[in-house]
Amino acid sequence: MSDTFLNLGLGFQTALSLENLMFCMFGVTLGTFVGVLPGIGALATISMCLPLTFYLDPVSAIIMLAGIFYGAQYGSSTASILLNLPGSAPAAVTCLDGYPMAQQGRSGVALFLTTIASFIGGSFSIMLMIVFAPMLASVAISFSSAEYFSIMVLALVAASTLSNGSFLKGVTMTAVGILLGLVGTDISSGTARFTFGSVTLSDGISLVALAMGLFGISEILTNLSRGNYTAIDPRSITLRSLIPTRADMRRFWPSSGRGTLIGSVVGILPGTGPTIATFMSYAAEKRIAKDSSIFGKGAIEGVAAPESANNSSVQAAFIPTLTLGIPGDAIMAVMLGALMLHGITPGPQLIINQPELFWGVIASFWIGNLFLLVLNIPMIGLWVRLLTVPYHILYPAMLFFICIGVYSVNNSSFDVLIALIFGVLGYGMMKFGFSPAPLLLGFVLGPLLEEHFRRALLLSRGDLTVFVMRPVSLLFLALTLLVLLLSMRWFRTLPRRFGRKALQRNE
Amino acid sequence: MQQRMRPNLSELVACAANAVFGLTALVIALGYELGSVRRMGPGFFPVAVCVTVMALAVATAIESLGAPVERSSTAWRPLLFISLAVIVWTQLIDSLGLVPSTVALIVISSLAKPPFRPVSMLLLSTGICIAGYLIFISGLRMPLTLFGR
Repeated sequence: MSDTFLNLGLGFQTALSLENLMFCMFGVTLGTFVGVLPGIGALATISMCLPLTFYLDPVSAIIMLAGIFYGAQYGSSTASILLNLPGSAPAAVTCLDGYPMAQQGRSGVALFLTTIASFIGGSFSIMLMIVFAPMLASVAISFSSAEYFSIMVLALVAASTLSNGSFLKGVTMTAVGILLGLVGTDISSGTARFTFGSVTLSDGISLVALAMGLFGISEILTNLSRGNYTAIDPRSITLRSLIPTRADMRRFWPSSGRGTLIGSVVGILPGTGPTIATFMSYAAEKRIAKDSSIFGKGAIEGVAAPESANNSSVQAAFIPTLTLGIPGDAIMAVMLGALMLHGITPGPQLIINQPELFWGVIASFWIGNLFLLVLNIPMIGLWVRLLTVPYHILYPAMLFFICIGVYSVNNSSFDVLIALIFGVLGYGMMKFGFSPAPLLLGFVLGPLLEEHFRRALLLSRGDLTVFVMRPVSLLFLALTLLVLLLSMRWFRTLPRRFGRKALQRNE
Repeated sequence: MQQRMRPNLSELVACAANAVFGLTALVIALGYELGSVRRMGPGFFPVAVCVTVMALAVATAIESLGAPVERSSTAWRPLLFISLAVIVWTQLIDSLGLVPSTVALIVISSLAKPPFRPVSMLLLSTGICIAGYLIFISGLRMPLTLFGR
């Protein structure tokens, strides 16, 4: 235990340095900024900032990128509540009850409660991370390639089944992503694969170009094909309107607690991100409630639980990313990519070899969440005003930052064209119901998957049973199978059908 | 919205595109050394993934047969002007420098969403050029020039 405090001390020492404090503040402010604006998400922003982090040291880089991530979760509820437009995918659930609250003139209360809910969720998962991550890392040290392969398979399958839309399409995109990840020089043999003789491609497709294309350019295209959002009156949100009643708070606490728990569990699992956490917690609230008809009409529970789940899953998602090196969703995959670009391979060794990185990042989460409280409660009026910036000003600026951002990585205009290709591709994919997030996860995990697959089989002398003979590996493969079965409709209806048969028999 | 129960043509095209992608990659990957399960060559894993992609493409195609047709319009105008803006930017940035390429990017991309607003576009261009100069040239010292090379 004293070790933990020592480590946290080191963490705060790192995080409280002037430079890191600045990057943390910059990150959470930028995160809130893009979170509030509908049509520009955390993923696009993190990809845009990725080239900037090349000039920073890795600790500051991750502190800033993580700040954007959780800052955006705080901000994204604002547009959900005021405009019925989610600032990012996980905040879609907040629309369901947040917007009705705003229509009843209680938008201030909704904004205040989402901020508090986010803070509770975030804080809980940070504590969980402090306790749980070193434990997980010490277990993971004994993992061999077979285990890593199985965990990655679980992550990839879970991410593609649990994302919205068709399961088969999700898996297809994952496989396409893996294939794209293999472009470049093969590590073990030195063979150039899928490069078409191009020297530029021998280092592989640039992660920044891929991410910015799939999430930056295609987002602009999607938003341009939709209509405008309606204007709102920023003067309607006063400090006084933020204060909830005592009855509100009584309903708020238990829901927020349940949301936090669900979020943290979902966040730790590989392959499941905040979007799933928010939907799950909303569904749970609806089931628990005595009167489920209040949902969708401005129920406090419907705002508190998803927002807590959202932030707790976001913070908890750092646990598998930093301790196992396996990202839970596309944003974490970019974060992992950022670390790898700095020459740091996240894994169980990270806590031991880079304590100031690991504990510094955790400490910065505390600081960042405190910043966010200040940013989101006294200064909420400012963010609301931001919603009045028209999109026709916003998107050319975004396009410029995407172009120069991709260009700056290798000073290569070829990379910018690659980003454009993936942008158009991403737009087409979304039109046909293929979501681009599994593709990105596959892209980042593809090379690792191959490496561990080859190494596991090399060590087992070509014996394929190695993946089921090792207990931990078997466990993860069994979980994968379970996730697969659960994603199939006929399996989910099985108990109901059996139940009906049993009933008939009893009659 | 009327649901029509005919094969979802556009979705089948998407599945076919996936299948073609997998097949092309497979043809290329077969050119690499396969090796054995025990000592895999550079071709083994790619071939396995390619086969998976093709199998999944067929499965999605079968799945889409039963799905109702959803109609949505494609945003051709944004698609055209955004692509054009990015292509022009990449062609100008190395030869003419930051300012001309960025102004071109903003002018062309503004055409994606009518109406055309000359004043706000001018202000936006100025603002972005200044921000771009401060962040990328004077801040990050990227080897870019404002005008020409």
